[in-house]
Amino acid sequence: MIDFVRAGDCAIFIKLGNSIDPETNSRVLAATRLITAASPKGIRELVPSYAGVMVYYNPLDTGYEQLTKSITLILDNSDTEKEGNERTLISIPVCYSGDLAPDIKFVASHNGISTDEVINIHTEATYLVYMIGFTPGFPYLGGMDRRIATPRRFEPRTKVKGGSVGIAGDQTGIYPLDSPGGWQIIGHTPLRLFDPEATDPFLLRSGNLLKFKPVDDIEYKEIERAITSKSYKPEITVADERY
Amino acid sequence: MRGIKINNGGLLTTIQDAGRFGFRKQGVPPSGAMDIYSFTLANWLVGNDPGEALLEITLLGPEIEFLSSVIFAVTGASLNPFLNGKKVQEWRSVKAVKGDVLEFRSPSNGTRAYLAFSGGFSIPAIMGSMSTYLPAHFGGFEGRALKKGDIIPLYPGNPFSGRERVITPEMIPSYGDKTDLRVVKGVDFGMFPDSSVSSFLYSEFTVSPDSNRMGYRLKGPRINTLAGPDVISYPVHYGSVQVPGDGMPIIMGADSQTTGGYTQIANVITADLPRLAQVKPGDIIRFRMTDYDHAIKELETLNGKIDKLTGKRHNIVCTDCMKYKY
Repeated sequence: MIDFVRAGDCAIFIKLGNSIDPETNSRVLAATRLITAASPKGIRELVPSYAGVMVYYNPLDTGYEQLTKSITLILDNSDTEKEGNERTLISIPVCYSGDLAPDIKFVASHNGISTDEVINIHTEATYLVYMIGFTPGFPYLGGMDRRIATPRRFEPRTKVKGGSVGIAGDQTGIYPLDSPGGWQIIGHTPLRLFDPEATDPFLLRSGNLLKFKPVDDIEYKEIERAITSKSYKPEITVADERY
Repeated sequence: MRGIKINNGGLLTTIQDAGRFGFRKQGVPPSGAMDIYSFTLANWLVGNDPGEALLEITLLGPEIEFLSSVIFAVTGASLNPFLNGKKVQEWRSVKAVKGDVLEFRSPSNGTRAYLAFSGGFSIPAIMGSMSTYLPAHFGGFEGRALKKGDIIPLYPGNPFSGRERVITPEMIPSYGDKTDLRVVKGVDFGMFPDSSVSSFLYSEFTVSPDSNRMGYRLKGPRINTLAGPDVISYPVHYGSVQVPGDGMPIIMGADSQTTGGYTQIANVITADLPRLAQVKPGDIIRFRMTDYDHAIKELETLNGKIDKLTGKRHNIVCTDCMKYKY
């Protein structure tokens, strides 16, 4: 399915599906890549999301009819189903203990399991980064195991440290920056998801795969030091699987 | 040194340029001047590049001491600027010398004024822009609003020494406390029953005090959808009108988050965003439906006005596309 819906005079939403699932997301990313490569006149930016791509364009440079025609041709001439996405897998080191994991005991008891089991379940899965949004660098992740699903805190915290790893309902995520929040915090990563002054400010991109890796206090501190001295290299591999 | 010193930061004074483009897909909105029309004219008045950084001033303006000579100009809202105790004419270039003090007395109309300095600022650009992104504390001056004691360096080169420039009255908008905003149908327009659309288009909405650069929260009749307020999250932008569960519309601002999961009923037309930027808490907003062709014609007209003034081809939608000096 390809549906064009106008979103104001400078944007067009290309709907490619109706649900949140890896296959739809794959088609969204493939479409984004294909349109970017062809770069039709007047496009300013493409923003992929769960089930569609928002095309920001300049109506003083190109018309709606012309642009949607170009995009249709681009997408018709390639098979977004077959256009596989090379998946980058990023390993996120997380310390799941002590002060860095204030809510892990609650998550465990809420689900009738031990904190070790929470860590095993959280780190076993491979997560898909559906899209980045809401706040700079924030990944919308898919694939969390329901066995650790826990409702948001009744009372949100006024400040959650950037790097905190949490659970809210059946979603898991990482706070890129200090912010207020109601997620159950089960750990902390020293990695910076967003650093505006870095050459590449963003660690993650839509379509990445992600795994959490448990590290102890000592390794956590080593990684922290390496990041501060700018010598840390995140573990990134190219995944074979077609997600 | 060439610069300005802040003796009083005012209510909310931030450095903004035309915006930080290219990072929406990473959760970073463009930010930038909310009234791009007043912004563009302020820069033209002092001979700057069309997208140069300047100060966006909100309601209660700052007190600024000039540490060196410079040409400045104030456009946008009438916030009553005075230089060394003498009233300053807005919408025209003004000379200031070292030691001069600029202050703003009580606001008369509008919400956001734009104060441009010839040559612009000499501060680092973050991710290609000098705009301040307040929610994540980066960009502009230390990622925050200006406060007492701040010293902001100005461009060290020769200030613009051309003729005095003036904006003629027919180019100067007037701002009241009732604003009609033209909108076009949004992505989820079809999810709203006729009764809701009527409410949306024929009611008066009051701007709640809980409004800022991230968005304008409105109070008025409940606008309901047929199937609840939640949709699969997708991108939102400045001017998008979202309707969450409580039925109270929110108009996204320049600092709004980049994605949202509430239904979007409409979008304020780009040509009316400068007028939206001049709305403040307590004001009344009414939405007026128009069609896309008309919205784009209005944008062309607005753009044409600026082209005529400057004598060059402009592009108010894509100020980052312009790389020329006046």
